[in-house]
Amino acid sequence: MKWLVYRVPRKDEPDLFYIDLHPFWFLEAEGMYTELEERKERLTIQLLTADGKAENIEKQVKEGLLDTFYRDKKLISEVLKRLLSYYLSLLDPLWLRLFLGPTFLASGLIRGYLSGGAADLLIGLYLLMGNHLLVKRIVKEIRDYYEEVESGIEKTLKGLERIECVEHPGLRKLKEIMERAKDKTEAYVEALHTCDKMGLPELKEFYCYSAPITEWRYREPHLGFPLYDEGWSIESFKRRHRAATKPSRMKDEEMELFDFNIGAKYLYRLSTYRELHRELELAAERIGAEKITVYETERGYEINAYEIGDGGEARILIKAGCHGREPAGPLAILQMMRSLEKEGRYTEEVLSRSRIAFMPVDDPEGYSMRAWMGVDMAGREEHWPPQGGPYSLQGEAELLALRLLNRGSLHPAQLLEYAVRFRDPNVVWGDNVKSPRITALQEYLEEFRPTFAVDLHETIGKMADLIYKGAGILSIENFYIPPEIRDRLENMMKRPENRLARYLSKRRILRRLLGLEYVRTLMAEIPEFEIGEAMMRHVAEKGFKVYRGEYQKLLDKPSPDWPPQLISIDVGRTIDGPLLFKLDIRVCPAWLHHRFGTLSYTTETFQNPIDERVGEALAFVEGGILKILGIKDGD
Amino acid sequence: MKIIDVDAYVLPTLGRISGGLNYTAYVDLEIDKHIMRCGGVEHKVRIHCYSPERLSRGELERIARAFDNAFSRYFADVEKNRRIYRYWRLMGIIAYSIATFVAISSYLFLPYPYNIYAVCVDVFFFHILIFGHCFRPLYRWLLDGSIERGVHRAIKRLKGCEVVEGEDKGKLRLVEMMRERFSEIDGGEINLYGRLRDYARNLGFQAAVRFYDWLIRELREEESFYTKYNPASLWRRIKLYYLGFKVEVPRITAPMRNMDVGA
Repeated sequence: MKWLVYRVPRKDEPDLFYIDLHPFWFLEAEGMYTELEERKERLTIQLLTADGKAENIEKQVKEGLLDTFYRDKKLISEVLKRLLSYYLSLLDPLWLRLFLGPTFLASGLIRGYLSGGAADLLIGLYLLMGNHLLVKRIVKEIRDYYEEVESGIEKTLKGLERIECVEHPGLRKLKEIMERAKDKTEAYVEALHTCDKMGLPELKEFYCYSAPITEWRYREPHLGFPLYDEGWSIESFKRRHRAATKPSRMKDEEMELFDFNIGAKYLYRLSTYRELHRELELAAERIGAEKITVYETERGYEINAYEIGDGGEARILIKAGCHGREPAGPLAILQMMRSLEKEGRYTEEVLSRSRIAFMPVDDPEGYSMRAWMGVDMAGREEHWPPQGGPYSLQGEAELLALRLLNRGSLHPAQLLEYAVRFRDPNVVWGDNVKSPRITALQEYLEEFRPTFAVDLHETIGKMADLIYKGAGILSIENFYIPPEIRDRLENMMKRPENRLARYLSKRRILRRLLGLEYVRTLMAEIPEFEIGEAMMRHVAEKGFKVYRGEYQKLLDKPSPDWPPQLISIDVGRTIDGPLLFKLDIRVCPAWLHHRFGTLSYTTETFQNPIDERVGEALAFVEGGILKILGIKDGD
Repeated sequence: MKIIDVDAYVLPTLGRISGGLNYTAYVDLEIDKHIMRCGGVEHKVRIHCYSPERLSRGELERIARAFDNAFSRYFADVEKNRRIYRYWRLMGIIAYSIATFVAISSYLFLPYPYNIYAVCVDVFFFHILIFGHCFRPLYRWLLDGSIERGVHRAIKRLKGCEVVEGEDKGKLRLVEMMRERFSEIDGGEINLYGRLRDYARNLGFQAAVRFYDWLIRELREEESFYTKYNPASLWRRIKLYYLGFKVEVPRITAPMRNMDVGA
């Protein structure tokens, strides 16, 4: 039996021994152990290297494996053991044992043998003792299983047969990149994208975590603020403008506003910001958009807005790329801009009646690094690894356990860590903003004053995929909801689940008579509610998925212990829950709504093919634009 | 020891999340069927790998380890399932008997005078609940049992695998033609795979048809691990507890470098 591990080249540091870990790899490890036990074999480690040469690393590898792997394995086994024990123990609820059991027993004794009392007696006895015994037995089996696996893996690793080095061209290429590059970040960003091309996607995560510009300090105590020796002054950035050129559009009658012929291969090729920027610039020139450079980052990347259209009826803002790890938003904006190179059925009307601002990427470095940006209280920025933490089995296991137990909501400890010092750049909008980047964006938006805005986001990544993989587009909406309605929303039934309830909920008299009060029926009385409905209808009409079915039920029934982060109001539609709304954490669309009364939306797309994610965003935005201009109702 | 020859093909695919274009080595073997067919004899699997470009030893070893991983994962899943469900099924039978007894016991001990025809009508309408529902779990139980026995046989007798470069000129030409076709087309990911599948079908390349069929099914699926194993809806939960978890059979695939002609 052999096991594959990697020797990963690093910039100006010794190579790293790397085991590809993913949340379910332990299944493989356990299976391997079973096989080894049965066949009485020993384990061989195959180390993939750049040149296939081994230089006295056998001892290091053996010790390192035992030190790190076994310790983490033990931990993940423990978490799993507890998790499974918890779930399986639910089969033995106290009320069954202590209430129903004795009740049956007493009923049996009272009723006597002939009137069916014997059956009651048996049922009572089983509920009192039998069920409990069987559940305990199952829990013990599971615990034994994991203990066997733990001891087996320890035995296997101690008795490693040998370490074999094998050369891999991908690692050779990575080594060349490290030797050639001058800057660590640039080297890691290049390596990150090379991993995909060389068939080593599992190493991508490693370079992704290591690429951030400033060293990451997650393990520092979080209750406290950094005290810097040097002064920190924020220089305001002077916006640059580039005038619009004259466009020439080809007629395309089949198209409404946006082109839904999306090339997945083309999109996959735009993996770095430079590649995306080049395409955006080309598209902007062709459609005759005015370019406004809103901000320039320390590394010289531009944050641009492209404005097009001469109308005054609506001022539309389409924004994306706030989080670098979410590529579908910027790519969707590129596709929207490329669509305007052609003249669809409604292009002329939309551009003559409204002005549209496209802001494709807020965090260009993050886009290339596939990282998140954190902003601290003083306005300093750091790039974080994806999903907010360095990759460790412990972190994964904890997160997995917490998500499963809390039904996807955030744990208080995590919330605290996340919220106290560094914040997501999307939640620090408002009057007290310190980050120069967000200040510049806000200043620009103060001038633009959008009436309708969509911010495109994604929820993807290993842990998110466990829960949301395959879900369609979700919309988080900001429109005026009277305070008395908002206060009642949390305690109301989410939406009618079956046809009969849905039918009854539509009849006002029946609703009152039966005491049915659903969120959806109440919200439908607010005029702005219709717009989101039309947008979602348009997405479905274009053949894309909306957030529905089992995912919707997850959203409708959040953990009872937690105030929900989002409150669902209809299929695939939500508003900010008390966790966001009452804590006064302002996300960009909420700030827009509070500041200018903008009708604003955040969209979330989930793990699906890239072209589908882009298509969902495109359809959502198209539906919104056509609805607010009264061109098409989304039917 | 018997040697079983299996083919692996390096076929064009698109990267996930934010990845680029890459190719995937697909071992044309279904684990559950292989276990049932060959688990009884001591054997080793030799994988003949067909790729549009020559692969290094490291890349060939990755295919071999993907093979090991997929088998190990399947073995572990089946074993865990067996351990949990040994008693779970017993509980199911007892709970089921209790429910059945509760449903019909009132008819067994009816005082005189009673109408036997009314009892017959009631039992007739109850029979779906009483008898019908036991077939599905019983079938699943028997099926799971045979899989578990098969896995135990195979664990002892499967002696790993080795990967060699394939030498069949016809099959090599097929993977080259797939690559050429892929470099000519663009579109949505599912659409691309659909077109590649049709092309493979026209070529009579059945392994590629199976691979793309599986990929398309995976991408179309509106389900996640969570919605399958910890569903929110009551009905799904009942089904899960009643029938037990179904062990999914993993496919054997390994990511390869980009071999696109135009890239």
